[in-house]
Amino acid sequence: MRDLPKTAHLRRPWAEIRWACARQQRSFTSEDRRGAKVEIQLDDGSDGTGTKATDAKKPSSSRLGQLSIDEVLYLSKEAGVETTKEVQAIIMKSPPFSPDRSPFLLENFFESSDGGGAGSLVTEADAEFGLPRDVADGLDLCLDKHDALSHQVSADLEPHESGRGGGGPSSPVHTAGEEDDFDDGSGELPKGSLGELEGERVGAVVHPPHTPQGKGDTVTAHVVNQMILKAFHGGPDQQAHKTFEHKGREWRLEAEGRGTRARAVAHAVIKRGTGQVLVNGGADVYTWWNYFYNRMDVLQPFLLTGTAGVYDLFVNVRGGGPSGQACAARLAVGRALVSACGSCAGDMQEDLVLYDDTRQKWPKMPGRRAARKQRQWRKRG
Amino acid sequence: MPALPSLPSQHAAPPIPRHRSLPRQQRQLLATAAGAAPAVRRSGDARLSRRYDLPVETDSTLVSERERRHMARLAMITEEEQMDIYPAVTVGFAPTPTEVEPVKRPFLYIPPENLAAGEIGVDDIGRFRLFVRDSLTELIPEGLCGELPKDITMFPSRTTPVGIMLRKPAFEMISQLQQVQQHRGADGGWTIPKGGFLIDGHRGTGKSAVLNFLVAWARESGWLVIFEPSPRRYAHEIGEIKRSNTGVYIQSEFTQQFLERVSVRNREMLERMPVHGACYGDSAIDGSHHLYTQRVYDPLIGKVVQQRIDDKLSGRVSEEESEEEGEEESEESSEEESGESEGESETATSGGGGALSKDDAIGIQRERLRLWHAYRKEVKIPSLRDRLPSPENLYEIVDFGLQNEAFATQCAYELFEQLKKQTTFPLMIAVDQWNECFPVSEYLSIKYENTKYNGYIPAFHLTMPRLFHKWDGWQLKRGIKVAATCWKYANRRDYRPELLKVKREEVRTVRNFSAFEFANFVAYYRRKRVIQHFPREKLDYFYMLTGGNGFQSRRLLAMLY
Repeated sequence: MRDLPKTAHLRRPWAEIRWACARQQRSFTSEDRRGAKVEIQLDDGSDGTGTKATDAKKPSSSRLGQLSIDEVLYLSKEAGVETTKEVQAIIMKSPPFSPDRSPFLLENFFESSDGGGAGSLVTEADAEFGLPRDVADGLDLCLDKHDALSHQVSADLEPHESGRGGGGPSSPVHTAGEEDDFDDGSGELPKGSLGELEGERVGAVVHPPHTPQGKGDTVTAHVVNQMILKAFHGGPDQQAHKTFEHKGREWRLEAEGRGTRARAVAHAVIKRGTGQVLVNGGADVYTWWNYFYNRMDVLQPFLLTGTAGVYDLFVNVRGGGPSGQACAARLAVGRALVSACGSCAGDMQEDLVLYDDTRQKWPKMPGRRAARKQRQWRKRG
Repeated sequence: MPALPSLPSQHAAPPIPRHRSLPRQQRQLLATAAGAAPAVRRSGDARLSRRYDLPVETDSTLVSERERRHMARLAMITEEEQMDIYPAVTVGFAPTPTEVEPVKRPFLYIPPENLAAGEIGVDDIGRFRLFVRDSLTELIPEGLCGELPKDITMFPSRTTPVGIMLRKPAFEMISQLQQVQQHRGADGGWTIPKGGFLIDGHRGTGKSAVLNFLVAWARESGWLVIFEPSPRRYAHEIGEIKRSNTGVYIQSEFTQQFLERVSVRNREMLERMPVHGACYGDSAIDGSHHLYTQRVYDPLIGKVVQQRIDDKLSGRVSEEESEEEGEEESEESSEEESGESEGESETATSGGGGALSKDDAIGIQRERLRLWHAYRKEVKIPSLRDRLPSPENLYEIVDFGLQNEAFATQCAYELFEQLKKQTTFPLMIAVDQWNECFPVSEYLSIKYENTKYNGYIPAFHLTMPRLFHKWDGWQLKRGIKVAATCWKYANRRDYRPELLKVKREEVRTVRNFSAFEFANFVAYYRRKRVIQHFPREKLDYFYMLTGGNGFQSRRLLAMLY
């Protein structure tokens, strides 16, 4: 498909182009989104207003009144004017999203090569599905790893330095690099592109994290990403009703964590409450753990962080014995508290609450009574 | 690890894209970032469910790969960086200033002026009511139920007053009982339109404490309270038992002890209560109704009568014998009964004389009736009316039982029958450990071999637990029955109240301590010097540790401090 004049910055682009085409006009005057008058020439020459239409390759005048269906659809798509039939035709005629011609999948959609648009798409999807942090975390790592994406990100980084992005005019897909070009003209960015792009730019310091020097950078990127995500996805207004203050710290109303110990696994959910504890959906803590020291294990994180009686605890445990389950629950509660307020992690450091004890029972070994126990020595027989 | 290509299904994880150009590690990372489940967690069930498109059961205890990475990353971050990532307070966060509430500790005990005025309010829930020890002994001479005696033994002082906490169910019940205490029915007579309360709850929640509070309140408010703190001992302590003809085992010693305890506090009230004549003397020696006891002999009488009739039909009975017999019977009846019985004896002699013929069906039936009547008269159920013909008040019945051990059980059952009819005082029959009336006792009997009781006598076949085991509060004309029970304590039997005819609205469940109640409990122990050095800042922690359960709290506090 050949290049067409850029009209996205106009207020009513498609209607005016269509009207001009119908009248066999070679140029028409329109208004951009700011309300300034702009003259658009469709066949040749420059309009002298510095719009992008001058940069684009002009269509031949003979075909002006007879735009191909591709051209019409592309124009309408770019202009944001869609009737039902147009949308259906766009969908039917659009090329597969995946570069390797695999069927349409969400993952491929994220990994499509439309550069910075990927970031915006992902973050929009994140915001839409309400799973901002984890998904974005995963994608950040992907950005570091994935060649194409990292290349694209580095290309996105360049325009601020070199003034021109990687999305060339020959690219059939409208890229973020091209959208950046509109900055100069209209001074208005498409919605949702600024924050995420800025975040990606700052965060995506391209060092593979498995290399020694890349580790710290990844951490830095992670730190920055976390702050950005926190700022953009939660916001002070939204977070105000999800958090509360306790002992000078800000705590989330709900948090969860998982922990393991020996063969036991535990999942703890803490909610703002009065200190009720429920194990496996129905049992009281003193019923489930008969011994005090097991219960002390479970509730130790609350004691260390000073949040006893502040949260209700709902814990599911499975596998192992009572002691292992108690320690697994302890780890889960500790992680949940860190999730609720990260700055409390230091309080639990001394008692190694957050230490994941991955030791497992040794298997029985041949020639021995058990894993380490040896046969008793007998003098005779 | 690249995932196997599979059809996208609604419940299964989305397929992982294949990127042949990327190294394996990167492919894996991409896969996990896309939200795919880690391949290691694929069990047979998951495969099956994927194959048949069944919903996959999510297990919340599984640790996903993403979380592992998150934890690993967290471990890499230093404390300063943590503070950067998770600042203690966000920039835009503006907490509302919390108002400092004044300490309510001065009101650990219910104010005496409230008690004097009878004004116990909702504010007093969770506070202790103090009893001077001597007054408590006088008020509840049957003994306190539950673990309150243990509390008292833990006090270092022998004279300090004893506190009982006012719990929410106790407050509710008291307020309800205050409404019905002076209630009159449609006919203008005293009545209480209420069956009673079943105090329910897990072990250590304070059921017995509630009952103690209730009994103390009722006694002070002018109720007649029959209080049994421990029916368990009747089924588990050693005592003499005698089997009656109806199959109930009589416990005379225990009954005497019970009557003695009842009479200590209630003597004056019992003396003021008249005996209801219509139902007096109906109880048999084992407490069952005398008509029921008479029916036990019916099969025996029937057998003898049939034998006699057969003899007469076969002519084995001579005329002389039959005449003699008829005369004897007529003499007996004339001695016992008045003029009516003479007529009966006449008919008996007239019908009974001579041999019967097989064709005379009417004659046979008449003879059968005559014999049946004659033999049934010989069955005598000893009635209390014979020994104590006209007691003036209920205490005389109790006193008679105390004087005669053989009649103790009968007296106790007569007393309870009389209490059903009385309207002099509002009555409360309070039983703790009610569930102990239902499992087997420790007494063995050959009669219960090869039954579901496995050779042990069930407790409700012993007369003393049998006295309390029925949920018959509705039969008390001006009274209620209050039973405290824990369904899961004794022998881990799961009793259902509805099978015992307890209505749902009659059940009052006692829950664990609230935080305020727990704080008061600790403060009370501190005041009584049961615990010495309790760290105040750990109060919430200990509340979580014990779950607010009274039993656990007592154990923990007594152990640690």
